[in-house]
Amino acid sequence: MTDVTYIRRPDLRAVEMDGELVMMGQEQGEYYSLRDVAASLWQHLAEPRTLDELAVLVAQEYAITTDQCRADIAAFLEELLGKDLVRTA
Amino acid sequence: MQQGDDADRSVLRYSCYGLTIASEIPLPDLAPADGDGHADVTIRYGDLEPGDPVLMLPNGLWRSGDICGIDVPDVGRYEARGGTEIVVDPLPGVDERNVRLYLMGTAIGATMMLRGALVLHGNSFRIGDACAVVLGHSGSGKSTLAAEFDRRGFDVLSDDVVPVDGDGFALPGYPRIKLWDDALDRLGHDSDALERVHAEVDKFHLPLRRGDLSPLPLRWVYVLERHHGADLTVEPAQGAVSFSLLHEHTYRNELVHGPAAAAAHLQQCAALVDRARVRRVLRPAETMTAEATADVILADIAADRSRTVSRDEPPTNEPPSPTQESA
Repeated sequence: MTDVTYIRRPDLRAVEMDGELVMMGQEQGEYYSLRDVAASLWQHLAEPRTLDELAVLVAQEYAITTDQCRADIAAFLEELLGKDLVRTA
Repeated sequence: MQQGDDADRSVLRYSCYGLTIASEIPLPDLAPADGDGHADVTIRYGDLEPGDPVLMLPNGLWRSGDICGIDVPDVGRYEARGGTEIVVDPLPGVDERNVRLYLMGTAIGATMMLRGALVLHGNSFRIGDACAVVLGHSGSGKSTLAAEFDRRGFDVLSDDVVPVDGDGFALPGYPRIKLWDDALDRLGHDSDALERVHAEVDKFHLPLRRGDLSPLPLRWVYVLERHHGADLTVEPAQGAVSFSLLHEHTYRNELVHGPAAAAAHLQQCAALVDRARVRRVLRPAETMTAEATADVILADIAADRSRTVSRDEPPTNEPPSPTQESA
């Protein structure tokens, strides 16, 4: 499980507006916005990342432990997978 | 392929949105243009096939690459092609005012979109060396508000269709506002003296008082909305909320169709959000006058100007965005 890597779809456009990321979804007229940790994770997902790597990155940025954020990150990745915004490798 | 027709004396030349337009169809709303050289956009009659059913979008619209089309019941078909040509195929016997209404609306709006503008559904008016735009759905009172700004001596850039170019400048359109007869009555105009927008509709062209205008940087965006509160309030919008408001009030936003068009539109909106403040004007459902709405909008602009003028430049202390997509 831990060696599964996640990467964002390279064809999705995202732009920054007032510190939020606004991105196109898969369907016509579908858009998502990401802020804070979610926006940060999206940037990290430009490269293939494992859940553990992402937890370490977020823990460093927000001065928390990986145990405090890993479950939330896993849930977020599942949500992104469900919307086909990231892929696994 | 229209070049060969330039010598034809039936082709008339106009300027609108900073473009020279050569048209087979008389467009008395527009300022005549001089010369007989290059035209940016040609308008001609031609036979048009119905839109491919596979490509049909809501409201009779279709889009295929850099062609946008619309089929208007009881009027005819229009295609805007590549931002340089508009082909009009009216039904037999249609009143020319009805033909012009969709030509000057959807077809020109789509042309500006194809030329890379962010085309907003609203009115804009000049504030100093910049401008503000008021967005709202049909029936929200945008045009009445534009007439109110005109009455107070503000230069109104355009009515209904506001193209914003790649540098964030709103382009002045034709100097007329479309108003219902009751709105004209409230503003003290006599509709008998004005031209009807549409042969069977009690909506009229009110000429604006402004002279020629240059494109102006768009600094303020106001979105007219209704709410259930008692007060007229102005609330800031940010980020994704600003985007969704701009998307909602993009003129004929059905035509923002396909990944390339959607990506360009997203980028245009982000550029505008960087340059302009987006605000929602929340109005009580009852008893909302154009005068009161104009007052709160002008007060909000005055407050913002006094802030930014004292600092000389709008604050730009945000770190450079690391989020630009390379994909």
